[in-house]
Amino acid sequence: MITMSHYLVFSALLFCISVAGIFINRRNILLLLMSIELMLLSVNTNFIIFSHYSNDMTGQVFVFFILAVAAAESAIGLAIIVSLFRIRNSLEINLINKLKG
Amino acid sequence: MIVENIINSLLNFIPEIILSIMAMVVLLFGIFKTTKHYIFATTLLSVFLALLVSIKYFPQDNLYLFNYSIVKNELTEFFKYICYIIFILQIMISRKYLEERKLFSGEFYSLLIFAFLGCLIIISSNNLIILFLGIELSSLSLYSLIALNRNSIFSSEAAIKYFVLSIIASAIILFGFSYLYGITNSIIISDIVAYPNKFQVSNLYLFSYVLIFIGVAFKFAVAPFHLWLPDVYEGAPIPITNFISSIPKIAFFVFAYRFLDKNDIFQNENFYNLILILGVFSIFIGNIFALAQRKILRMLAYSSIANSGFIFIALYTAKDFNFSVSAFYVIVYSFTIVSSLSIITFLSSKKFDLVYIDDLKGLSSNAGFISLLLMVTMLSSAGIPLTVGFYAKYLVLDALISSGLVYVAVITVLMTVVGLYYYLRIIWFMFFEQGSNSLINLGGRFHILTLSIIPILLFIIFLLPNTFFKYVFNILA
Repeated sequence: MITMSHYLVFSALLFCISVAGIFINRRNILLLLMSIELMLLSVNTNFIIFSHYSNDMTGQVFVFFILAVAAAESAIGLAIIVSLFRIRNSLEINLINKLKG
Repeated sequence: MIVENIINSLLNFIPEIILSIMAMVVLLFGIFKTTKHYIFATTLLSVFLALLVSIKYFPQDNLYLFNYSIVKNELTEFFKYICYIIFILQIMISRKYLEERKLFSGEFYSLLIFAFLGCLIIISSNNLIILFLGIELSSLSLYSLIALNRNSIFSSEAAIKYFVLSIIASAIILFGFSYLYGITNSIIISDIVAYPNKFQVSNLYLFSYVLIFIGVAFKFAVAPFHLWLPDVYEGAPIPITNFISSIPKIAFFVFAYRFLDKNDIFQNENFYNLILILGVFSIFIGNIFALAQRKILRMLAYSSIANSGFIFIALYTAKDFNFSVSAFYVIVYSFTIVSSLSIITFLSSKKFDLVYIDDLKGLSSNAGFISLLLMVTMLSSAGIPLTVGFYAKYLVLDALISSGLVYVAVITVLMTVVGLYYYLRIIWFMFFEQGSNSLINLGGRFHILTLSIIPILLFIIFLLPNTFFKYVFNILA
């Protein structure tokens, strides 16, 4: 029997995986964007679970807003990545180190 | 009845509506050659108009709009006016800098207005969805504004750093929101905050609060979460740095206030100790790292980390008293940092960015008045009497000692003394070192007039503190 807490553990794990993806990933900026997307999706799962189990539609409305904002966010992120790539011809994270004191 | 409600809500929401429409108008104006000259005037006028309208619709009592999504009361309006004043000053200073770097465009001012609008929405939201949209509206605009200088390697690097860390912060805040929604079954913030007073608080509620305040700490750049701030300060165009340093902080302060005020969770030992530890650590890291900086923007960034630590400590003292001390600190700090960053914007000229502290050597021999203004600002950041920064720091320390944390107060004072070194170094370079920099910009009588507003305010409020203090204290009592 799958209960609410199983789902909650699932979404918490998803969140942790995406955080780990951001901090462990040392190669490519695009992977960073994917991890960020996963992070927001885990929040969405949480909202959907709570909304389903409490018979309240508000959570699902919230999910739509988060999806829309996540789309806008990845669009802007890709635009920044394009402008970064045009300047230095690489997407390696290790090379983003021009700013220092 | 419903129609009346909607019309009433729309009427009271006119300032924000004006701003959003005018942002699009400014964007349109930027496209055509004939209208391009009017961008700046339109921006200023629309912000003034929004300010006037919001003064006209000043709420007498708590006013809930759009089915409890937006709250308007004396407090939100007060913080909004402060934001408006700061924003107008920033716009006035920004023009010359942008024109010299060919960044002066419709997009810039349009996005700037949108970022400002997002902050206003954060200040007055009473609904998790609206709050989230406000946060995202301001940060999405700021990503693109930081990356606006497309030819600069620093600009896009700062943008990607801000982008990643800001989204992580938003996602952590959202994760906290989702648990809050699950526990309380409501997205109205006043219901969520009232929940612990009625029911037994579960650990999950505490956990969601911790998540939310980690996100707020990211946005405030409090110590373990501060790594993005120096890079963004250095890489972004200086008018954007000016914006990031002040208005989002005021907005997030109101955010924190809204979640903590009259909430029993704040009496939980683990929670308030978290805030205190973040604050102390941040003061420590900020002041120590600022000592080693040679670049003025990075130095200001670390000093702003230290000041965020002060804000968190002041938030901690709110558990025994109220939020007036921290509100006062936030306001004073944002005015001070806006003043210093505006002066840096002003001093940068077409071929020269004021990057290194050494560039300020001998400034007083060429420009006595500007160096005087910078001196007042620096003294205020350091918390020396004759400027209002002294009261801000004094009130925080007083509240700390009243709540029995003498050793924390001692650490804070010691770190402030360390901080004196790098503030006074700037004054030393300006007044007592020889040297002249021919590239530094000194012209523009109108700009000097604008720049002198804040330092004079800092001085006057020091002399007449009572009226201002009492006002802030009354609102937050």
